[in-house]
Amino acid sequence: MSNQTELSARKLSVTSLLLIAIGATSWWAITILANYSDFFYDDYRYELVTEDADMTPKGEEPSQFYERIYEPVVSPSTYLILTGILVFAMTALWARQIANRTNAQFEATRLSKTASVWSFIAVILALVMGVVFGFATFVESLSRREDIDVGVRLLSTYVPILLTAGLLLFVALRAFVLKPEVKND
Amino acid sequence: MTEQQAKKALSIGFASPIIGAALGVLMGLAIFDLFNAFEEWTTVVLIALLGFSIWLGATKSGDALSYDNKHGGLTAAKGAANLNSVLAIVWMVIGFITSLVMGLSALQNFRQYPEAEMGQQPYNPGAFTVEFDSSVFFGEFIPAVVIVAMSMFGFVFMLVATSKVAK
Repeated sequence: MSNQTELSARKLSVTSLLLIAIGATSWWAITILANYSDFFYDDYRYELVTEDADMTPKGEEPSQFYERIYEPVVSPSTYLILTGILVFAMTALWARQIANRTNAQFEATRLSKTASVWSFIAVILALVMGVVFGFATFVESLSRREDIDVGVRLLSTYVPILLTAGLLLFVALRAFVLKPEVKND
Repeated sequence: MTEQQAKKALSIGFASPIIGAALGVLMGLAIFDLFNAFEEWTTVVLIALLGFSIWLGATKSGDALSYDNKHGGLTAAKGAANLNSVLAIVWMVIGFITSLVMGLSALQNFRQYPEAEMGQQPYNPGAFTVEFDSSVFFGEFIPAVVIVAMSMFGFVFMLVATSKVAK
């Protein structure tokens, strides 16, 4: 293998590995942002309730407490978490594409094999994350009460699950079936 | 690279992660015993120390493997490179999980609850404000960012180091 070819193969493999690292770091940042957004969107609000005066013993002040009232909202964190998975999946796909191109165009080296293996692992991880997210959204929706607004229900459960299914389908097809053609110059 | 240098590199390749891990554990224990606390920046230093020792081991075992690929006679080189690759994976996973837990815990500390006073209104769990706190930001959140960046990009450098091509 010539020095130039070796350098190109090395560069492409390192790019592939760096893309996976960038994807994972972006997922981390978006997950933190999603958790931050949860501070401002809560399914519960708290209302001050004063106990009935008739129930209070004589000579004592009626007791007060905050009652938790269920008022579901569409939380941006649902879509942010999905965005994080999308970003990671896209970088993993991109990394896999580069690794495949490197393997097709250059002689296999330990680094190109490593890049290929890690891009495959990243794609599988992205798929697993998507499945876990979809399943968690479904299970969470079961615990929600029935008297929920249809719009909120649709946007917080049905749409995210549909989007996740679409993402999983796209990633699986793109990574394992509809692989982009590699030109062999 | 001579055979002697390759053997020396192989020895460092095996020894470096073991020495780094032992030093890290002992240093962590000593800090905890001396100060009875474990600050976030201490975790950063310990993870960096572990990372450096694995990176050094990966680089040296990569050199030895490169020599073995060209001249042969250094069969343990592949084992050292594989050992360092596995350690790099473990280090990356630990670093990533630590940073995520640390980052999420730092976020919770940005919430400020009004101080409860006797005879006042009852406790309201929803009455918190989210305020920027520089001690939480620099003392808890930034270490988490440093760890995640270090573990992800350090991992790439380690993988590259164990995959050197013979020249």
